[in-house]
Amino acid sequence: MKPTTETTVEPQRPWAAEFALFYAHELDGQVRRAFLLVGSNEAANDVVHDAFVAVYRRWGEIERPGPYLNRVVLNGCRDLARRRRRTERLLAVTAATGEAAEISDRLDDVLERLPFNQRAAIVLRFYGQLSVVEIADALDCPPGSVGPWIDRGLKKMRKALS
Amino acid sequence: MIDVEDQLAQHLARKAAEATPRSDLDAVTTQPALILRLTPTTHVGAQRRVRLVAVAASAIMVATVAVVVVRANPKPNVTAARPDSTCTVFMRADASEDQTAAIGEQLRQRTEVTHLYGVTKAQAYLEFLKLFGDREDLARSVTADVLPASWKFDLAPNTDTARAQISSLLAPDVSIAQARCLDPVTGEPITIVASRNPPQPGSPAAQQLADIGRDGATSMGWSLTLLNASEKPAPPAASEQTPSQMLMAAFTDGPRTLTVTINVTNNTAPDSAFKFVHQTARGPLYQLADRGSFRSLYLFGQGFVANVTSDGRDDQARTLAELTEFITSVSQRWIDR
Repeated sequence: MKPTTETTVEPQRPWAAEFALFYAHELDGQVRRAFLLVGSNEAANDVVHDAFVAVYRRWGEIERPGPYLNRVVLNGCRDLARRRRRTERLLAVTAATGEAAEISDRLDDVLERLPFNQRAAIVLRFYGQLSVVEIADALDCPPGSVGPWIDRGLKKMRKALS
Repeated sequence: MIDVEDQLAQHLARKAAEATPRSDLDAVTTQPALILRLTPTTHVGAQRRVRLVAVAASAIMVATVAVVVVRANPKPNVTAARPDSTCTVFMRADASEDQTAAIGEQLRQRTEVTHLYGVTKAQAYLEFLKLFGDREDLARSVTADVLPASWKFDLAPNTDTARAQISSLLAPDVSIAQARCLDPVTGEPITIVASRNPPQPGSPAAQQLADIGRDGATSMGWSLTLLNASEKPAPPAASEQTPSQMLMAAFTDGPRTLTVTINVTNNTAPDSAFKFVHQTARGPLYQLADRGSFRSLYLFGQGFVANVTSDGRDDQARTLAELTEFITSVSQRWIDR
């Protein structure tokens, strides 16, 4: 039996066109960033989808939907990372770090093992090209915390590559 | 030696390219309470529970909408009903009998549509009572006239253009229905929004804006159909002392929509949320600061703020220059009215 989904006609919303543009503008970047944080295409799309639903519900109230979406996506990724970490601890998974691993594999390994805030700050800085203030806004933390997170993350990466 | 920051940036860019964003705006903007994201299962009990939730959600939603009692009978053929139809076209609650019949006839003529059968409003109500008759609270809140008639059917396999085909048979200027289907190729749920609200008369002021918008569009060489015109009080602004009025008119040319709003207010000073674009003859033009790439412009006139938003595919999108000309022309007509 195939899955089925049914719904009724939704009311016309005057700002639907604006939201559609916002969606088209943000979708690609948000999914790619989430993918870098959660490592799964499916999970990244789900997290971003749920975040868009949250933004859509509050569209009339939110003054700056872009930063708000960033925050909701990151919270979704953080929750997912937390759940995964719990599972990994139960399974006692150990990261594979073979000597022949490629640089990108090593970067992946280090990224994966970074605390979420460090990983998110690095992805937002080096992939998302967000400023420190924007990253702080997205992670809901003081701007002063962002620099040290990035520095610590980079330090671990340098160590892994040396 | 390449610095770790460069390596990291390159690595993240390479890895991010592996992601495949799935665009499904309809799933986001359809009433969230009614979206059920299901996974295939062979568990009959679970399916039944899901069906109950879907019907309950639909019933509760529909019950909140004021409706016209419709006697429409979409030539029901209950004996041929397939409970697992992959596609349903829900008629709008206020669709006329003729509109309902016309959609059924159009579906019947499509070779890719199979196992077509209709569910009248009365049948939908009977089904609802069968499922929820023992739930006094639900049964009391739903009456026979609020559940929509629908057409259920399957799409023939290998119909990879099903979305376009079904969409094309529901003309944008006919207010009718929204279909919800499973893609016959991928099995993924797809939404085909075929509904268009009929032109609403709205208030005299909203109608005036609709006329002004249409005139402005005509002068631009755009052929647009009015979707909706409405008037509502604008949300209160912290710094605003006097109540304001918000007028809206939405148009379509098929694949694109254009929305024009006029916010009648004495407080016309843009705040930090806006980014100045340039000065026009009718007033300064702004975009929202964090939505710079949007096809949306705000003109701060004397006693009003005009906004125009255009959507559509990138290759069809109206340019900001066109929208600037359009909003300037609308504002001029608004002042001259």
